[in-house]
Amino acid sequence: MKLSIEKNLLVNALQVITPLTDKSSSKPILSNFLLEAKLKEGGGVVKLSATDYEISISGEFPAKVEEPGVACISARKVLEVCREFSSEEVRISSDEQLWVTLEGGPSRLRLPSVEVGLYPHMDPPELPNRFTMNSRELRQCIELTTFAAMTNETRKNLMGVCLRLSNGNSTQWVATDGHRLAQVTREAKDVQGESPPEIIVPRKAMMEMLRVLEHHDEAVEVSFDERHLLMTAGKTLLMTRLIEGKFPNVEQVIPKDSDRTVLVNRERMINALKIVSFMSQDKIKPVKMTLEPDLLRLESERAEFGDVLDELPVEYAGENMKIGFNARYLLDVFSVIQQSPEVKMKLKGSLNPCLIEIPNDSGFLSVVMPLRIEW
Amino acid sequence: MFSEISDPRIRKIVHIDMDAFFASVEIRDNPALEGLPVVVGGSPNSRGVVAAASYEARRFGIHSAMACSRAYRLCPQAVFIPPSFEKYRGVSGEIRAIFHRYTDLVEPLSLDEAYLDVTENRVGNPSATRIAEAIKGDILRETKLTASAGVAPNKFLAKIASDERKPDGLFVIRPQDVAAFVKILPLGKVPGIGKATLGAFEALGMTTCGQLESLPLAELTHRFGKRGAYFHRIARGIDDRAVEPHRERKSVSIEDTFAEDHDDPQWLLERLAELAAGLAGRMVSAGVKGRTLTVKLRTAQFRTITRSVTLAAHTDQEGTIRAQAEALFRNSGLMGEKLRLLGLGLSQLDNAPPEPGLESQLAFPWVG
Repeated sequence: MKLSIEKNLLVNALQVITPLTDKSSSKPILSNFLLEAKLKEGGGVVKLSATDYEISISGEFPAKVEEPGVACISARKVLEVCREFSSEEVRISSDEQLWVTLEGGPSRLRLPSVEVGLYPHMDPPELPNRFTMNSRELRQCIELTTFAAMTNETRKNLMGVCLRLSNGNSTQWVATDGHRLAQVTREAKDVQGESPPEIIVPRKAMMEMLRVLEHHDEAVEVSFDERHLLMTAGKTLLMTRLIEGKFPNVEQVIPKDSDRTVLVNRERMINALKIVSFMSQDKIKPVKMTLEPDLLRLESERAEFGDVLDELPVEYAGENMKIGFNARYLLDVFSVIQQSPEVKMKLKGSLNPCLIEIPNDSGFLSVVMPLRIEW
Repeated sequence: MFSEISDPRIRKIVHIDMDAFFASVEIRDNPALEGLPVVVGGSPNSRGVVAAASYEARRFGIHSAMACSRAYRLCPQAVFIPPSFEKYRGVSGEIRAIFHRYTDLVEPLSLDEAYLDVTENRVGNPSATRIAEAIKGDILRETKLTASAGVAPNKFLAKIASDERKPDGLFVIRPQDVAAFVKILPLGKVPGIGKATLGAFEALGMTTCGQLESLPLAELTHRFGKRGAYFHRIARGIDDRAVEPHRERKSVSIEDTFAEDHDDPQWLLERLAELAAGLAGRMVSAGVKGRTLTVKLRTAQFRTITRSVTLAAHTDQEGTIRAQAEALFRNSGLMGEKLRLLGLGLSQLDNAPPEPGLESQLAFPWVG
């Protein structure tokens, strides 16, 4: 194998696939990736692929290929060294003794490679259900929901984002950890196939999809069956296994009877939440909220550390009320809402769920359960 | 007629002990680990301790509470996995729910171990052995994990029995077999007999539980204090401690009695560091953190003093425990004296139910 490739292309691609290879202390072979050079008219292409058995990613990039071939080498090492190369191009070659040499100008890295046949093979299957969405919208679907998925492993079915195809051309994305939930509905194009009622995409796969989409601005195709989901973004493919299990019916926990509406400035709210959550190092960061006409007060105290208070002007015309929250849950949702300077919070009583909406985006909603606090 | 009715004073105690619990959970959730030596704990080059080791790893001599660096030297090819206690707590909860289908008299000892009194039980099965089998079956079916069970008329024997046939074992000590079993039971297997006590018994020429029977109660209490009475009872296979479902663990501790008295501060500090590592391991497997650290020192003249400090936050970290213990020891006024025992304990545990007045996070209705 002998080729040269633009350094930035190589580094960007490795940044996407390397996270897949990092955790594999159990299977050392999975710390590697596959580098495949193919001759094509007008130069050639290099294909990079990696898998952790759950998620597989592969991408093709233009390169000058002199001799086709394939090698299996450590992703993290190649990434870290190539990133530091001062040249604009990286030359890669391999010999029969399984050594791979990477050169960037005068810098040279020689690595032993692993026999290619030992590396798990990924074949993108044809999956019956599919839709197309532009990259920016898909990124939004991921960002606006994934934060609410469960991170610990006590309930597997909540460790991902539930995706449904409904009403012909709309997609619905929902995540919840039992204390809060986030839901986005977005139009899709070219919806095909008889969808299963729903699939659950692992949280980690959603984060990886986001990483792939950062380098991709055009339309993206998503296809799936009951076991797998495949995302095709140009020449980059991401395939993930799905979580088996049933997603809870979240419709019943979305409040319909909230009668107190507060309009808050998003950035000011984030700022205030950060100030008051500073008081607690625990997972639960209790914050007491007091609502008065046009005023929101946030407070937090810890006997051993002191107390902290912040106030912000809001649009609110209802009666005075007090409610407690885990500040982290509010911070999470306010931080992902990028599309509006204002956010609407709809409340009922101090023990009722809080509905969070974006004024100019009816496709999004979030529900946060309060924290019962003694005042 | 009378022989048909079982003696109402005879209890049926089951001790369930999950096999290499944390390691088994990790292997279950990542089948690629199957057959490999798996160590759950700190990373090999950290000062952390092993929280659990798979049976493959144990073959290399790795066991829990061992320093990870040592485990790594014993078996460099072992897979080291950081613990996910949230996950273990979840699985432990599932297992406890299974226990409660059979009896409410469940006394959890840690995340992976519990005593059950099934003398009276919910399923109306008079055979404790059948119940132990059923529980093992439920655990395997519902969590895909294996447990070992010991069945006996009391807690001390049930705990020894569960260890007899590990892993996936079931061992029964019937009331009529107790005397014979205790007679040849090696003292080293008795819970509460550590290497110091074992050495003391060996000095008396005693290696089995049955041999203790010849020692009068007065001599045992003279030698071992409060524990003497326990040894007197277990030598006869008697242990009348009840299974206490609501027993809240108040503290976790560890101590070491030396073969001979020592006054070299460096040597004592090294022992203290070992105890800190051991205590951290016990905290982890008990699934709790503590806020008050107590150092216990006993002089050659049998004077026992304790020194405590309350920390800003709950901990189970070896480094914190070691640093605080060292400071307590240095300020104890006993540096340079001949000591025969060092001990460490953590209390004010975080397992207490939240006090009223503290906050509680509300959840969606379908969260069980």
